[in-house]
Amino acid sequence: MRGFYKVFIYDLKMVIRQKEALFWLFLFPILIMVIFGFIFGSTGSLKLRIGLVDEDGSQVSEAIVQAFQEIDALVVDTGTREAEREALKDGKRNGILIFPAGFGEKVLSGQPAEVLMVVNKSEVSTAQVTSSTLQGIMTRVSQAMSGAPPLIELREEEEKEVKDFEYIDFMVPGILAMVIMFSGLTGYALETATNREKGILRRIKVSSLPLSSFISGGIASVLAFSLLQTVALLSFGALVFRLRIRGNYLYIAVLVLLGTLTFLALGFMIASLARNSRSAGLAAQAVGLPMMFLSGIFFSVEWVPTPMKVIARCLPLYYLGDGLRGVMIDGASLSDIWLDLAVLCGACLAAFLSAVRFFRWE
Amino acid sequence: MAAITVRDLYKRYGDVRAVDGISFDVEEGEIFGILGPNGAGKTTTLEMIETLREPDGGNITVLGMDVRREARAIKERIGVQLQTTVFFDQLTVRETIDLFTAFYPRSLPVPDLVRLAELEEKAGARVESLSGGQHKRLSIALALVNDPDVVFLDEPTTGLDPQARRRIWEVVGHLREQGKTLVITTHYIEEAERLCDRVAIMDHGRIIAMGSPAELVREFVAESTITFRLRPPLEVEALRDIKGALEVGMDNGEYRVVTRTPQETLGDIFALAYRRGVEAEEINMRKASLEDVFLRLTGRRIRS
Repeated sequence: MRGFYKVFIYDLKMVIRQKEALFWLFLFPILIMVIFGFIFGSTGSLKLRIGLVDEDGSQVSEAIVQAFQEIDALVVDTGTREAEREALKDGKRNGILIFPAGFGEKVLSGQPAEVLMVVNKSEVSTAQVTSSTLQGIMTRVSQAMSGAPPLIELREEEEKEVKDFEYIDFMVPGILAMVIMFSGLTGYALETATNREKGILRRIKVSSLPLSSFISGGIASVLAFSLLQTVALLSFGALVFRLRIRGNYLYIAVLVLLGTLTFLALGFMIASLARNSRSAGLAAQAVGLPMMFLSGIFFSVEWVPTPMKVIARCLPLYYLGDGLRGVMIDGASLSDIWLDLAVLCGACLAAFLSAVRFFRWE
Repeated sequence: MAAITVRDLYKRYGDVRAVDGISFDVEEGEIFGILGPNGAGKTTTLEMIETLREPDGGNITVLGMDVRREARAIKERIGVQLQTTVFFDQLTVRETIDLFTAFYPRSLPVPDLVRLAELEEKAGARVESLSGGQHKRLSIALALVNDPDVVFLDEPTTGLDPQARRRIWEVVGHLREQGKTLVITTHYIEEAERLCDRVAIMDHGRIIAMGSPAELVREFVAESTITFRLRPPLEVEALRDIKGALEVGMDNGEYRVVTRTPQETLGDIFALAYRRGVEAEEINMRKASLEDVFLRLTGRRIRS
């Protein structure tokens, strides 16, 4: 026990003293989150910019402009016809509405009045939305003014159970899974391969310490760092990107620890099979990189063709990501994600057994 | 009682007989050397005694315990310095020793071990900053953490400069004073002659001679070699009649006479010089060493 404890403490010390390792453990995941957060995070809060040109200046047109300004989903600017058209050409408006002089008078006297709508067609993704939004609003306005009861009443009811999540909420569990995978595959397992090459394993073999104490001390320090990484990543996400975590923190910890053990076991298996630590490092990359892209870490596998889905479901990383998302986004309990847990346990056990089977002292 | 007994030990790697039927005893408190060229089977022999390798045949006991059946108990009472171990770069010397003390049920205090290995001024330094000699002394300190009765040092000074080598010899001296049994492998003649009470000379997996360095030299090479220069030089043939000369020769103006009776031969060399009216200079006499023993037994030099 004393052996295990000392190995644990000194392993922690050794990692802390390696600046490079600290970068990969803590800064790198945060960097990835920042990059992805800024690339994809902004699309979640799309607001249309609408320019209003009031050439009429009547009570009617002023009331409509005011009504527009009260709509949350819109950013409303007002200006002259020339200025707003210019802004539209520069791509600074999604659309503009022009109320011509005499508009209010026509409305009040019951004649059909005209409003000019110009939509920025170059923004394909928003042109449709802009045009139907503006039409919808104007229809309601004209209906309200005519005083006639609408034939169809759209009754709105709020569904409180809808899980509105933003990309950051989806992405962070993925990044967490990726980080756990790489630190398992390439961290301590390669360290052990290096210790084998340096003759440290043989030196331990001639001491009274069982190798299991030595390795488990090392594994304990990796688990401790995994938890620290998780805390750092999630706190950063919460502070900077307003990441929301709905699930139980204990369940997240369970998944993090199980995932770390699984990928450690895989890493040990690779390190046992590889000729030396160099080829073990390359093999770990060769396993880790495709897994990262195929397991739906940065995007949901529901969007990809079926063969890719099948591949994803063969990879342990998929289940770690899936489990973490289940807990963090949906607030799932451990029994909800039993499949993820079972697959991870199975993969861990299989990899561990083959790592032991192919273990070499030198 | 013998601290170590080795009987008919065999180890094969593929077709190569790394250790080919050797037997010897190491007495308690003795410093026993295994001397031989690279690939002679020294390290393999050591590692089988240390319980690191399984012998293909033969028996070994350490402190009366069998290496196959009682490996665990043996490990508690032996200390091992392996030839090539490199320790953790990020830890200091003191931390590394402290870590290793946790590998044994009982251990010496860390400061004592630091002192024993003469590493006081480096105790707080990272392992990566150590010189070759300091790293070797650290690995000796680590071989001593459990206060072992038997210590194995595998080529403790290979690759070190003469000064660093002498520091290691000092440390071995401390161990001798403590009455520990030591087994050392080396391919340095001087090291074997200086440190070891007894030496086994190994070649191609066999022990070809065993005894104290002085005994071995006396038994296998009784000759001394006298070298000198003559001014002006004489023809080599003139030396043939020198008393006791077994063999004469000349290289680059340096004459060489091999003899079993150095005193008589030396006198006659002076007499010859006087008779012929020439000056004898740069006279050297070299007694035979274990190198000559090895040369005599195998026809090769140890380091080649």
